[in-house]
Amino acid sequence: MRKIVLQLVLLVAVAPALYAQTVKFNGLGRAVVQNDAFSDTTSINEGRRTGGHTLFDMGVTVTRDDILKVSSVLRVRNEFGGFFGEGISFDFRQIKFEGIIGEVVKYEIGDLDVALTPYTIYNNTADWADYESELFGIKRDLVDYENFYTKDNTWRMQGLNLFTTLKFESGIEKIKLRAFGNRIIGTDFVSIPSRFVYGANAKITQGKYGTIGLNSVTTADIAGTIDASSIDYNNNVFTVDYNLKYDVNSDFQLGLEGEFGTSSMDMSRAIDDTSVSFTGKFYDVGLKGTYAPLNLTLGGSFHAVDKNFSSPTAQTRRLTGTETPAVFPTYNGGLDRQSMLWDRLSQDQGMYNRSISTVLMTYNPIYGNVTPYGKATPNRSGISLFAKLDSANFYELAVGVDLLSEISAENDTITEEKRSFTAIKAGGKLYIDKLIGLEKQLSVQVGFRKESTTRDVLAVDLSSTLIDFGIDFEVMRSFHVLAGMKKLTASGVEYFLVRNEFNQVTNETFPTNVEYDQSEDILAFGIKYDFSKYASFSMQAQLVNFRNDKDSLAALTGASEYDLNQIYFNYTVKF
Amino acid sequence: MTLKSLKHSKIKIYSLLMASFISFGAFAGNGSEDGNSTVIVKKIEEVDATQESTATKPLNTSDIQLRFSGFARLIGFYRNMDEYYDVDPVGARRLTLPITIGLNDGSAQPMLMLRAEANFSSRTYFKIHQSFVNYGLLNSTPGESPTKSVIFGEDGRLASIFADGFYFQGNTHTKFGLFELKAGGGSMYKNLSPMTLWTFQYRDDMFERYPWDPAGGNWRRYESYYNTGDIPRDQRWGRRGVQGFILDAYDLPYNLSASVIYGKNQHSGGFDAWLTNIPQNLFAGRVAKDFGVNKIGFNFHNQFGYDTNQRVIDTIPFTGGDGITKQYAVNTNRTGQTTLTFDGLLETKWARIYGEVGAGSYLSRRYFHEDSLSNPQEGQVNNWKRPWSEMYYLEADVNKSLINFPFKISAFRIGKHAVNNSSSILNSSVEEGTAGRDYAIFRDIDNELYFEGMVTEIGQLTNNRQGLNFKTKKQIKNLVIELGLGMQQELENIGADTIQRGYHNDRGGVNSGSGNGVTGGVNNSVTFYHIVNQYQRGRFHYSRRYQGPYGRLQSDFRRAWENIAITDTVIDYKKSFNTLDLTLKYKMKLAKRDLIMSGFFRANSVQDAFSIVPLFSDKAFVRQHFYEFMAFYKLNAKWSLVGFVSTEIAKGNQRTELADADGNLITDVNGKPVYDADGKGIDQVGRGYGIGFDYDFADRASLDVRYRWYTHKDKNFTQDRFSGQDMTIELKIFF
Repeated sequence: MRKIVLQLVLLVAVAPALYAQTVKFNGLGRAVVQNDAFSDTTSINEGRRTGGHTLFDMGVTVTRDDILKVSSVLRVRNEFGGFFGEGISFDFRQIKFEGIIGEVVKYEIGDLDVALTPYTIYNNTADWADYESELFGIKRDLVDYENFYTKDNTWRMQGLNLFTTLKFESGIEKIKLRAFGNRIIGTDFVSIPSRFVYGANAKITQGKYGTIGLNSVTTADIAGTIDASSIDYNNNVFTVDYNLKYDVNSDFQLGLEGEFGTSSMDMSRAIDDTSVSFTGKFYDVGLKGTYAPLNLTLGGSFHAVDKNFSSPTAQTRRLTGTETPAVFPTYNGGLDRQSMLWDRLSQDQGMYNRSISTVLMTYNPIYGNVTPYGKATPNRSGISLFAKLDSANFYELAVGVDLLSEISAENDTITEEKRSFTAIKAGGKLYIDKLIGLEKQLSVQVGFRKESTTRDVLAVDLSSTLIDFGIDFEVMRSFHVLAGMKKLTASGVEYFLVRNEFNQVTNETFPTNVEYDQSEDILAFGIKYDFSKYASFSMQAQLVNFRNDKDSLAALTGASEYDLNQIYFNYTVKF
Repeated sequence: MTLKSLKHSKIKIYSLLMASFISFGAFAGNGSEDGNSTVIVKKIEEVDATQESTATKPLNTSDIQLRFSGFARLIGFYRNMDEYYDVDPVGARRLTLPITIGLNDGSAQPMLMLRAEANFSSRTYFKIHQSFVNYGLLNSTPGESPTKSVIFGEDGRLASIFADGFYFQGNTHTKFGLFELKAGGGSMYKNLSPMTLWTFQYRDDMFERYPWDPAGGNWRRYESYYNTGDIPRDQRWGRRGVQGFILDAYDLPYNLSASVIYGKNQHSGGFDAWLTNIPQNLFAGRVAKDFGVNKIGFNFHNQFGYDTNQRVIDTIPFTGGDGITKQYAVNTNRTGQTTLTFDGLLETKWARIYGEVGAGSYLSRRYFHEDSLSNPQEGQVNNWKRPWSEMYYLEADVNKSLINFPFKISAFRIGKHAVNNSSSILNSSVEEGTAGRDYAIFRDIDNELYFEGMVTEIGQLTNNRQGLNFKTKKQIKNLVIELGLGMQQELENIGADTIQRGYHNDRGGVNSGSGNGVTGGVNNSVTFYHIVNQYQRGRFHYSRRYQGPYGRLQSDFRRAWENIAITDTVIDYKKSFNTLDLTLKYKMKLAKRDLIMSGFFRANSVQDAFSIVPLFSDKAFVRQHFYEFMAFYKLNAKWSLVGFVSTEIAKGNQRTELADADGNLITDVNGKPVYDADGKGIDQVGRGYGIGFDYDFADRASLDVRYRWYTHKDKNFTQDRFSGQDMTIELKIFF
């Protein structure tokens, strides 16, 4: 008996060593079912469809000490309504190798999510959604995950990262060094060369006073990857970013943050023996103050970006606004339907851009015209102000104002009149449960964004308003009743800019003015239950109304209007 | 100008920079904290944690463990047919050609089934059954890359989801009870009650190896068959595969429990509905209350939606009860199969009594009624009238405490409008009752869910039918005797109905494989199940009707039926159906080793008048007799021998479709089968013989070999014949 007990003790003691974990699993699973109904004004018949999917992304991470860590994701997906092997796909979603060489250089190779600064590498969100209802967030999370859009505003690329960190005992705390190279377009071996993004970054940290970064990013075609290239492209961006802070006293801190830099673009086209070169620069200077007792932050910045400042990895858009959605792609008897606000957060595949564009992509100005390419939007200068207040979990408020104008009159070569842009963004969340002492969560959130664009000559006068509203009531433990609303209205006139291959607006692609008188309403209500921190189930109905009084058929048929209603089920597990 | 020689000096700069990185690392050594600068990257996670990291972080590595299990099933298949049907070999997975050799018996069952499952927390769970096959269909020309085969992936490889296997589950305990939510795809197997969500389990012989058979313990299966008449099968049996969401609630107040299902099964728009996004779903559920071992329940099932991707609204004239005709808007293509029932189980000292009662309906524009609209309203979009029919089922399983020999008796009555393809009720009265798709398009070979004039097995339910079944079992020493008797009759003479049912069984014509379509339609017919060689016959083509040389065969997964037209011009009777099953099983010792022998006899008949027992004469439109003898011999703990002999005879009388002297179907000018004094009805004889062995070489692992010879011949319909032999060598190992 004693022998048996001894053996058991030894077994328990040794077992962890025998089964030391070198392979770990993580993943995401999801089951979605959606029922859609679509009706327009030209037919009493309604479009109907049922769709959805079940998928499982199995992440496998193999680690050998710190020498090697390999993470891969294998995907199994079954479309809703595909039985007995129908509608099933097995995919290899990503693989990444990482490790440390000689305990000094860390490397990453494979599928990488890359971001740097807002003016160098940055994947800007498609829509302002800071205070939208969680019902919309559930669907937006799905879109972001499917398209590798992350909260760190990264782009999914394939390539190499190298890191190392130098630590100092005095003066500078540390310097983080990084070099990277990623392929963004593969060669077709005929006319398109491989295109890479490569560069380096040094982040200097002084513990007390903040950080300064030096950034260099090049987007370039690599000669030699094909015999004869139709295009040769080379774009360099050099910037310095800084985030400095000064503690005035224990309650008040001042901060100076921003970035400045230059770009140079060279491009040649073989077919007409054309070569162009452009250079541009920008600067962004911001000052902010934080008063800790109130959790209040006030700030402002001034920034100016030349019209020829080119940074494709920071200026590429997720959406053009002219995509044809996969769900009900036509209306009014066969007209192509352009994506609306609802489509922008609801379609899990097909509409979204994942590649870097060297040409500024078109966009629909009603969804954002002030900085359509993020902070790095060319041809903008002006000031931005903001205030944030967070009251110890009772409420949070934020207000921001952008007062910008063009630096150069982009499509008015006669009067050189420039457009002015104004954006007001405000939002807040009120935790009613904390205020009145409820045990369960009850919160309300409101968001408001108003944009206007004006110009006197070659008149531009476009305004758009986006309102978000959401309510979240935890009626039972982990069981939430949710409601949400989005309302977008836009009216006026704006010019639709199309750029040529050299990223210029020319006579061949001269802008056309477009009249807008459009409104979109989304009402959503539903429930959500959190089974654990890993898994939740939600069910919601969304009622969408779209109305355009100025579309191409308006003169003939009056306003173009349609309704799209959806019942949506989602079970998601992340582990 | 070519751009071939473009210079990018910065590439060199960056290359240099990267090289210097590595060189720096090489010369920096292991680093120390003593100097002014120190290389501190020592852990992979260290850089990941920084803001500027490019780490791939959509998923966080966790300590959750995945568990893997499954089985490997390798089945070598050889088939050689001397005579065979002329069926499209591509669509039929090439199993109609004379010789087939491969690692595939046509079933697309997994060679490797890999089950992965994990508990994310005490309340959340996940499971996936992955199926991998490689049929070795190397399909390439020397010097060229392999091409993708028609059915399977490149070289016959296919990865898929298998059976009950792709879902996420969440549980929660509340003061109201335990709630369990399953969400997923593949097929989540579930049942509610026989009339709402269920599948009927056919009798299969014990000779054939089936994909769902276990590995190892073969002799235990034969003994189970001898002792109980049943064998263990996997959880698919008796259940329906569902995609979507299943919410089960247990331990509710007042001893209540409940289930709610929302999603699809394979009949909600078809097994390939993902391609069409057809808006056809099911919503089903059950609320039950327990009284100790007894229980009652309310069950519902509704498959609903539109048969195309539009909700079509038309305006039609309709004359109401006041005689005034008005225009009304109607949901033209709305369809539905709705069933509402109550069921109850009562356990007494002397019997186990189960009953289900309710109503079922079918709604479709293709299913016409005397009054097409029900209480229509102007200014509203109305629905077609939904006709309802009654559904009753009652069974009593009487044990020995009441009478010396236990028996089971059951009775049912199901009206003609009760269509529910998700239930155990076969649809034999509404041809339009498809998988929710527009019958005008899917009326032909794809409409595999309709069995006109079906001869059911004992205990099997169908609509427009009432019946009585009786089963008993008696053991006299080592002899087990099982007797079953079934008698049924149509409720209505729907054979004469050429209006309400809208469309008629026209046997496809173009797509029948033989071009023997019946353009005039067949609206009075009998469908019977081919018992002998059903596996072999089912392989000719899965999930199709109008197959075979006369366009009469209908098949699904491993089974085949045949539809025989009745040519009566005056149909003033209700067809009656009878079945008699007799099983004799005997266990003995032979050379000190166990020997189990089993004899099975079945007689079916369909006639124009009620009968208690099957008719064995030409008074029956169609009569079918089946004889089967099996023997299982246990050589030792690991080895078993099996043998099998079977014969099936099917005959049609002069009132059924007839063949002329050349074996051609006799029809009128419209191609409709008609009576002819010189014609002769079907006269089929099918035989099957087989031998084989099982070798349980390890725990849950076995090698099973079967060789079968088979023939089928019709004396009068001379094109209807096939013969051949096939061998399967199955190696199945669970892990």
